[in-house]
Amino acid sequence: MTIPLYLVFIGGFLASAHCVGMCGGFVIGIGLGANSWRGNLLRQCIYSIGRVCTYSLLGAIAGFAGSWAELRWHHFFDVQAVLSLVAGSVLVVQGLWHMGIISSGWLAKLQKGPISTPMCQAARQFGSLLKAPGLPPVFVAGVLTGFLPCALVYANLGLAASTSRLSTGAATMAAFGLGTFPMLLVTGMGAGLASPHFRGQVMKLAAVCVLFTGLITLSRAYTGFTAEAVGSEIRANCAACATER
Amino acid sequence: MSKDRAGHAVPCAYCRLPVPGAVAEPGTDEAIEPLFCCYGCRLAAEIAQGTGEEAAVRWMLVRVGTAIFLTLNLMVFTMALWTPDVYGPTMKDNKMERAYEDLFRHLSLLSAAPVMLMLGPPLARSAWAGVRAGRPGSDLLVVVGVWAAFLVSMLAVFRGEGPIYFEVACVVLIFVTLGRWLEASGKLHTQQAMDDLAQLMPEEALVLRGAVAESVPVDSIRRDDLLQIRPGDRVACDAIVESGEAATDEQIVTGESRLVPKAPGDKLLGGTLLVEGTLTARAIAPVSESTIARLIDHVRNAREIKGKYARMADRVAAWLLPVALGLSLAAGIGHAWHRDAVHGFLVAMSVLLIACPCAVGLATPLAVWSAMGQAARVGVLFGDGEALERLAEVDVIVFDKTGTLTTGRPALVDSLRSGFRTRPDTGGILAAIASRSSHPLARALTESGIAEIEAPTGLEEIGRIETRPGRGLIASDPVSGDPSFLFGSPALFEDFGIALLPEIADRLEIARNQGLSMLLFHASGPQPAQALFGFDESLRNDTISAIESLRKLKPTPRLIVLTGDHAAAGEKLANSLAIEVLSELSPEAKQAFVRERQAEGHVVAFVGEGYNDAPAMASADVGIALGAGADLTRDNAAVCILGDRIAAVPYVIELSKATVRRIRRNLFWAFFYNIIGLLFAASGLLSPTMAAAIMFVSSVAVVAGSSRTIGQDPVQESHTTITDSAGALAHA
Repeated sequence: MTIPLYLVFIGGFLASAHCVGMCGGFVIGIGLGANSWRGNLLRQCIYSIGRVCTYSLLGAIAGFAGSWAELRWHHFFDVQAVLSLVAGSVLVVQGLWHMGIISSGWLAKLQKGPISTPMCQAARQFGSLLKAPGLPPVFVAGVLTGFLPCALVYANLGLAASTSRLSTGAATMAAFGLGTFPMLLVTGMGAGLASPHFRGQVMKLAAVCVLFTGLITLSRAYTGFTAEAVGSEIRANCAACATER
Repeated sequence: MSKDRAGHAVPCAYCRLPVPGAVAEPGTDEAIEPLFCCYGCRLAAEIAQGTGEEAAVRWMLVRVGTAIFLTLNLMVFTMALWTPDVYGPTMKDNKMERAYEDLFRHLSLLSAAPVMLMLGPPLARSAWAGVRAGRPGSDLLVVVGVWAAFLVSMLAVFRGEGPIYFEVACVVLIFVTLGRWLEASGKLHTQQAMDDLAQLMPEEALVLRGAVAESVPVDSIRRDDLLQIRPGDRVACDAIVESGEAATDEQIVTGESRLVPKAPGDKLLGGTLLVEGTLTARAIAPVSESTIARLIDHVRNAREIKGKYARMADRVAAWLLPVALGLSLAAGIGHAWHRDAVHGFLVAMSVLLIACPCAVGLATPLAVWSAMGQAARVGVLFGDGEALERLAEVDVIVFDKTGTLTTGRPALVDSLRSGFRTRPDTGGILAAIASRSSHPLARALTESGIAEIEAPTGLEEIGRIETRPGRGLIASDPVSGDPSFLFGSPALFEDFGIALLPEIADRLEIARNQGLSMLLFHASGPQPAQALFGFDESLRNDTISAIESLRKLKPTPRLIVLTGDHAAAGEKLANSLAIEVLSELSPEAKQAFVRERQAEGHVVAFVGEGYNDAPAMASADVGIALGAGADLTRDNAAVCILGDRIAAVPYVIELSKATVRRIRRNLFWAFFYNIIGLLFAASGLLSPTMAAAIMFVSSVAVVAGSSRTIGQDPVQESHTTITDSAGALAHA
């Protein structure tokens, strides 16, 4: 049982109401560097393409890592099922958190935690990229945004890893990234759609969707544990283990 | 540092730390060509272009960002070569498979080449600078490894056979670049925290040239220039007020929190802030010799003197590089023997990357600078990094009494006069003699007691006045040479065999039992007149809370007060503070006490106001000078507290303990991490890409862990206490 990509897309779309909170400032900053609405539209698209590129590439790497782990460890346990279990749990926790069912204490602490200091140092120099004229800085800003710590990205990367294929891993994250496209585009174009009330409503929907994706992933883990899983094949070894290829 | 050599150490053009091994010719300030202490600083300086131009920052960010993007692509292309996922496991057609493989190999080369061109040159320049300076470092080895991996792979692509290692070259390059950049920003960040003082210096000042005031750069101010200072200006250099009246805030240089009024003839200290009024003042020193400049120099020099841990980390780091090189060669050759040359090369590179000791060398100085910067912000200046480390080990804390635990401003609480009525001019003579003494008790007397009663008169009658150090003043009869007036301690009276009037003698006994400090006055003649004045010293507002905070330290230090005062005064203090007090000690006896404790194996801190206890302070392991004010050079104190805040003592001790704990933890993890990493790398279990990533994480951990402010960290056990004493400091 695989995760339908459209579900990941919808998850990304709805969850981007949450992204607007974090990345909304960025897309508005990008708009500041444009002279016309057309120019802005182009800049917004380039920025999001940068983001989606990073997500997809990370997804491909995660998918490959999943397949590598499977090749290496499939004698010991069902790698795909374990990865599904982890990714599914993270998604379910995220969903429940956004629905307000579980408290956010340690999750928030984790997000503000030890990684925030170097992140802050990096962020100070990030602003100049956003407002810069020309498209290459905007694209790079998009690429770098893809690395920002975000629990949803991590959860979906787990999902990508659990597919245990480079191509499906990339596709999963691409679907997620494309899902976040519309909401950020609309915000970046300065439309008033993203009112706090509207965002609150979408957030609730998003939470349900994330929870649903998590549950499907968990069910994959369940079937994985109960049935004989068929792993994908790796032809040669890789750099990650420094053995011959 | 290398100051003891012919020239002085050349500061790094980015972080201003001395460049190892580089010494400028005497007389020249800096090398003609900018020198950098590490690759990170070179890179960071290139990014900021020295002036922090936004366009330059952006250009470099675009370069690094593009390199990251291309490397991600490269990783995916390379991974696609390792797995049939992309073109499907069912593809049986060998030709098709080869075509795909060839495509991915070329795509890899296309992604890798720009990365090498963008990030390769800065690292190569840094490595080359190291070679030219005669100290080829790890940068050189990384450059060689990275380019070798790239060139071998490029040949393999053109030949159409053989393995490719583009991802090794690019990932290593990116992580090394990011790690070094991060370390350099961490260094600059902590340096800037210490340079808060320097940031306050004005860049320009108004100088009167003829009738007009011109704005000139502060460096061009010369002695005797007339400065015009307006409200809100910082005084650029030390000066004497010529005209005008104003109030200044001198807290930054003297620690005095109240506004200080200034009138013509008063001295203005460089760096102080004019709060109200306008002044014209004559410069008495150029900016570079003024108070604030000396303070800044003091702080800057402090960070160049390394402590025990920093020296240890340096030694290990210096020793780690050759060892790492040896290990890397050995592991490389071993694996090449076992498997093949390429595998051996990869293992050698992993070992080298893991063993690169950057993070180890940085862990300690970053933590020390961060703590010193934090202390400087609350007005505590460390003379060197070593003082900070030694302070953490202190187990005996010795205090001076007067001016340290007490305010140093005695208050007149008892007075008795006998025989004054029959000699009506005696009061005026007493006032006149008292006004000639600079002793704190005499000053307290003129300020409070007799000034209300009499104006000083009859100076011509008194004749010549002599000072007996530590005893008092005597005036002799010009004809007979006999002492006609005496003013000083009871000991002075014993020296001259002057009998006390019964009334005075009785009161002296009582006052002595009360622990008061005393001054006696005697006017000789057929009907002698005598007076007794008793003074009490009050504790500073923050003394009790400071002593309590010190008692809460773990392990609890031994607290002891040494005083030159008489036993009763000591006993009184002992009772009010419940503290051990040794009285009637000369400055030499105080020094001997400190030496004895050291001989017993204790680490002793001496807290004093620095003037009369200089020998003891110099002998102590750490001297802490209170009320150091603008004059930091007057004593041997390793720690100077601006202002009279004794509450700063527990604060700095806690700060140093927390810092040393952090250093130890940092060093432990850095070594632990490196050694585990080395084992994995040497056994061939860690690829160069993973090794580079691991070292990057280690840099992030060191920079984040070391440059954090101590006291706001909920994990630190000392959190509450250190915040308490910081709070007490703020209120003091």
